[in-house]
Amino acid sequence: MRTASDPAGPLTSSFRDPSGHVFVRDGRVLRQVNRSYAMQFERLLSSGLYDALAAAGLLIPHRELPLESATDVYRVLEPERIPFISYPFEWAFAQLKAAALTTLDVQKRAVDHGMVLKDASAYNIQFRGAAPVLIDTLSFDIWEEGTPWAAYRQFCQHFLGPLALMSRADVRLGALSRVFIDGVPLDLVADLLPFSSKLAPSLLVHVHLHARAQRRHASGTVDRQARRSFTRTAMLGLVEHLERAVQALTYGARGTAWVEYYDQTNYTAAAMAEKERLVEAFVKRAQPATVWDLGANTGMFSRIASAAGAYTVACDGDPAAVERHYLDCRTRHEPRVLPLVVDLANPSGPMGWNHEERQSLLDRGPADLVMALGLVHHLSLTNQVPFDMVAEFFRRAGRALIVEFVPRADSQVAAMLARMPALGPRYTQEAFEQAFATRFETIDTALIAGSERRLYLMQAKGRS
Amino acid sequence: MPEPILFAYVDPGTGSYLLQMALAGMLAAGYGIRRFWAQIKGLFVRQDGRADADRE
Repeated sequence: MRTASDPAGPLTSSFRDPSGHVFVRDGRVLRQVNRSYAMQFERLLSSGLYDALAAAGLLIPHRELPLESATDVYRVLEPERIPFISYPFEWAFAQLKAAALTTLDVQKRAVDHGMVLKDASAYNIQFRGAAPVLIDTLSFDIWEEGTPWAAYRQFCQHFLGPLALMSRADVRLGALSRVFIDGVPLDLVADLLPFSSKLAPSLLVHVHLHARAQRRHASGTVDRQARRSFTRTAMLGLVEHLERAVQALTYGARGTAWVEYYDQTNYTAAAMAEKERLVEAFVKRAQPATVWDLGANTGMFSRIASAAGAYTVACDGDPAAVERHYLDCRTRHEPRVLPLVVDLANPSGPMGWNHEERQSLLDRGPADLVMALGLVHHLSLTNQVPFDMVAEFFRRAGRALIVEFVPRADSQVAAMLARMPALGPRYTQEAFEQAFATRFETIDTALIAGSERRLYLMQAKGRS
Repeated sequence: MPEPILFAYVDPGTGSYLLQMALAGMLAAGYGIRRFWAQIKGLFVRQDGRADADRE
């Protein structure tokens, strides 16, 4: 994880909130609480809110470390480590929905304890496997009853707006969160939603009227005395209303080419079973603690890596496939698989302030093992990426690699080459093996019995 | 009593504030009515304690 130019300074993603910041020391991720935030922090503990949220799995638990200096540092916390940091624009619909409901649940419990969430950024939610959790322990403020929710606008921009677009317009609009790093502006959400969204009272109020109110009062200020009328019942009513708005948004995860992929592959049941057996054997030989399953589809092979004990990030470019994978993980209470929507031909780059607020996919690695099963022919043919560039990407992504080569004789590849004949001459097994041999050492290889496809277990050269 | 507004480092947005205040009565009434019905229902229906399926 990268830090700012001062190695003991805050993480490059942790600078907005004056209450404290996150930093890395001796490989441990720590959170500093500033003295100015002491009263709020003490209230979080003394009100019982911290215990209630941690026990419910809604807030990341931490332990306090002894202080080394007595400057403006009030506390140093060591939160439980999140295995892999992911971003809202990489989440499937159901993940963003789960993160939204977690945020609202935290807010409701905070109000019960006389506190309030002072921000509602989707980046404050992370996943431990399938389970969302709030990671920002300093998100709480003491609630002055009568005051509306300061984070209401942020909640609507980070959660409700993108969810409404994905549900009511097109699931691919989730990618807008990658462009608008502080959430999708509500006037844009309102413009992109179909007219029928105005017939849903919750979207009419929290998106359409909200956008109009923002436009009308763009530069105004609110008289502080006038803010006293927002009672506790109104606050709880607001949270419940938002909860119902989020709950009402759904996504069916149907109709893409990939989501039915396993039903349409060239594998016989026996060959598929053989592939699973080989992948399992290769994973066990690699003994990874972390796996990136690239082109994971609905996660058939991610499960094998997880069962072998590896925390597995399962990337796929198809939002419907990732949606199904996540829902399956949630049903199984999967603790070690994180499905993410990632287009490998255009993976998330370094973004935000100074190009370093949000990390690229590769900056969050390398993984101990990369799995690229049924992927290379899509990258090489559909995306026209030459083998040596595919190999280089895999080498940067992981220390070891399980990769599958699908030969020209395979009917799927043959059909692709018929559409893109110019790519034919460079798509050979020899060219594949040659390109990978410059960057990887082949540990083992095996033909998948009952198919024409071949699996390789490789070790990146010059990497321990 | 501290001024919690000091820690509101996220701009709440004037329009967003005013909308909430305009809705306050409706939201409070809605909440009250739902609580009331939940209590009435609670007299007749046994709570099943089902967890929220969308977040599990």
